[in-house]
Amino acid sequence: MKTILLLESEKLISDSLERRLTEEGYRLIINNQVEEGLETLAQGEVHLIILDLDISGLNAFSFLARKNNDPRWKKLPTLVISNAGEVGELSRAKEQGVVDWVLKTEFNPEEVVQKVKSIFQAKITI
Amino acid sequence: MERESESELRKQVLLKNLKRQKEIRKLILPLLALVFLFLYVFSLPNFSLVLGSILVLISFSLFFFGNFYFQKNSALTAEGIQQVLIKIIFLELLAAWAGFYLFGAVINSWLIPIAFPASLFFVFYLTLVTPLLAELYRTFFFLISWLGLAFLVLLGHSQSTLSLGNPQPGLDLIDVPSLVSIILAGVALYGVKIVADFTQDQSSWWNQGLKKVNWRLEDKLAGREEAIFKLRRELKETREILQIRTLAHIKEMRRLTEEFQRMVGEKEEVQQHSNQQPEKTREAQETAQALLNILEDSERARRQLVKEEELTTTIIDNFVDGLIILNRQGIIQEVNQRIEEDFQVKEREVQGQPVEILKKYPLIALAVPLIGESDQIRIVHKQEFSTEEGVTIEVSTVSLKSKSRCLGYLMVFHDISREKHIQKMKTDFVSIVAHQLRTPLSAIKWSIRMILDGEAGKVAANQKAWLDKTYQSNERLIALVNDLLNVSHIEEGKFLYDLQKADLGKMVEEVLENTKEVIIQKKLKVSFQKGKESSLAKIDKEKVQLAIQNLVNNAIHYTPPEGEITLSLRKEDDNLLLMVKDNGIGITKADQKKVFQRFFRGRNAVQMRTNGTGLGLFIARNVIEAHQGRIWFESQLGKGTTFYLTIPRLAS
Repeated sequence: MKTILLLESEKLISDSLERRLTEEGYRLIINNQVEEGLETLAQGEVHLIILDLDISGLNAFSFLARKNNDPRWKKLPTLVISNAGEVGELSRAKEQGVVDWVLKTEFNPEEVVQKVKSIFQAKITI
Repeated sequence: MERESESELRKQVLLKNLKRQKEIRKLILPLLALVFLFLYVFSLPNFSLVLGSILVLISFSLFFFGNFYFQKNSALTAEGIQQVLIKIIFLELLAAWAGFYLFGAVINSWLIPIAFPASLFFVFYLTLVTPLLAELYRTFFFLISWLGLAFLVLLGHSQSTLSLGNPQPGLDLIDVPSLVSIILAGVALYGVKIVADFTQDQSSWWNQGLKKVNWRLEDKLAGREEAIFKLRRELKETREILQIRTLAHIKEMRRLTEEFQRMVGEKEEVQQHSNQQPEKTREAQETAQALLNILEDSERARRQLVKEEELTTTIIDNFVDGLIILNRQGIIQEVNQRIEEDFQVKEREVQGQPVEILKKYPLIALAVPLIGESDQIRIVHKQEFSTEEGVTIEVSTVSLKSKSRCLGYLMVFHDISREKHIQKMKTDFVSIVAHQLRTPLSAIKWSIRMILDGEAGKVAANQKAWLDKTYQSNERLIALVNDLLNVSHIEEGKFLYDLQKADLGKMVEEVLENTKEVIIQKKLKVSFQKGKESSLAKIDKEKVQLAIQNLVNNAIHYTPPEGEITLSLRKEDDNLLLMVKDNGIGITKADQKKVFQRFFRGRNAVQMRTNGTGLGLFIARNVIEAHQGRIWFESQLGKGTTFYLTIPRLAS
């Protein structure tokens, strides 16, 4: 079973994603703090990270940087979900090795599920 | 002249010839003496041989003395020497003839074969002294020799008595051996002639020597001639100089005379005019008064000018903005107090210096790249730079023109730090509010979506209708918040925060990547052609990306599904040209003038997509123009729109 780390501080969002992804057969660990997320990573069971760029009070980019600096997690695929969808933010995220992203205001949870599926499929084919 | 040198040459030739003959004889005489001594020793006491030898010597002595005499008494002119030579030839012929006869007679009674080498020796001797003689002379010599030999042979055979001066050999006594001897003598002589001719050829070295002598003579003569020419010329010049000097002296004397006459005349005139003195004095006084008046006027004008200048200086110095005045060559003329205070520039240090000197002052150094160097001042409007202390300055350069002639430049440094700060606060505020609003909005959107999708259990039809409406309202609210966020971008677009090297081509690819979801949804055919050249530019990356994103978004939004979008990026002069072409709805003629206006949306655009903000192109233009780029478009209603933008490229 694939384990997904969801870093999301908006409860409604994390709840809806948890529901849909669990239905699809994934195990979800939900953190709403960067430090917590890094601890979860340290336990070494995560296969995919879903990161909200608007994670409250903390900088999602610092999480990305710290994740990338650690050889253990460097290759972990990361999917970004964001409210803003500002050009600069997305470019920066892409530079940090993010594989895909979803804009919350323009997409529905269903599309997130589709993306997660496609990422894992891509991984399998590799 | 030429003839002269020719006769001179001949003279030289003849003299040389004489000398050579003398030298040959010096050699020949001892040899002759030896031969005779030898004959004496073997023929003694043959009296006739002794007598013959003595006669030979006498004949030779005669020849030499004659020769010597002629030489000495000739005047040594060419003709004289020629005569001497002819006489010598005559004497030698005589000597040869006599020698043969005497010698032949002497040896006749004793040993005929000796006559042959002896006569050959004579012939050879003659040939040696005659190479300079003409062919005719030589032939004559050989004939004489042959005749002599033939005579000797016949004489020997007949045994007849020698009769001096009148040899008459008996013709009836010719027999076969005598004939053979004569023929042999002829053959031997012919051989000698060949030797003589050969000697003649060999002697050509001597002719060449003569030629050289000739050339040297010619050179010498030419040199002399040149010297004569020079002398003549000098003489001529001297004469001319003398003439000129004489003329000058005459002129000077005439002038002095005239002056003297004039002085005499003036003296008389002065004496005549001395009566009109008082009137002249009055005139002079009046002139002085007028001059004083003019002086007073100009003094007043000067004071006025100083006052005005002071006023100008005061205005410039107390002006609220920093001012720098440059002349046409970009040399700093004046710097006001505000510049001195704000940028710690000392006027006396920069006055009269080219504008580049400002680089030395860290607070204003960053302005130099904006305004250009002294040889090429750029006319800029409201360009910004920030000092390290966080002060933002807006600099504008104005060309000071008077009657369309450029007199210099005025640079205005306006501190916009406060405006900037307020601007930033406003942007931050809008941005934060927009973000904060969007978080719950997206939560609501997702929740309703989940409920509508039946994730929370089956939804009744009437409940679904209400939820649908709620979902749509929420969507509108999201669009509104997005607009708010864009409003903050509008003003941002004008200012460049972070100029850095970036690859425009990659940025376009990123933008396409960001929008691929919609592209796939709408089944659009998108292609991007990138030129091979480097597409590097120094830009505020986020802003330019926003501008490109807006153009691409428009193309996507206003092109029907399965439409075609073509992008191309290439070098054009110093710029990078980006083209975004779609075959979408196009822009009406009436709307074309307004598309870059804030909040403007075309009528057909509103119909196609309700939730646009009318800010995308406005932002794009602000961004591109802040980068010294250009943005424009071509459009045909119903057929499509092509947007173009240029950005100065970074020279690779």
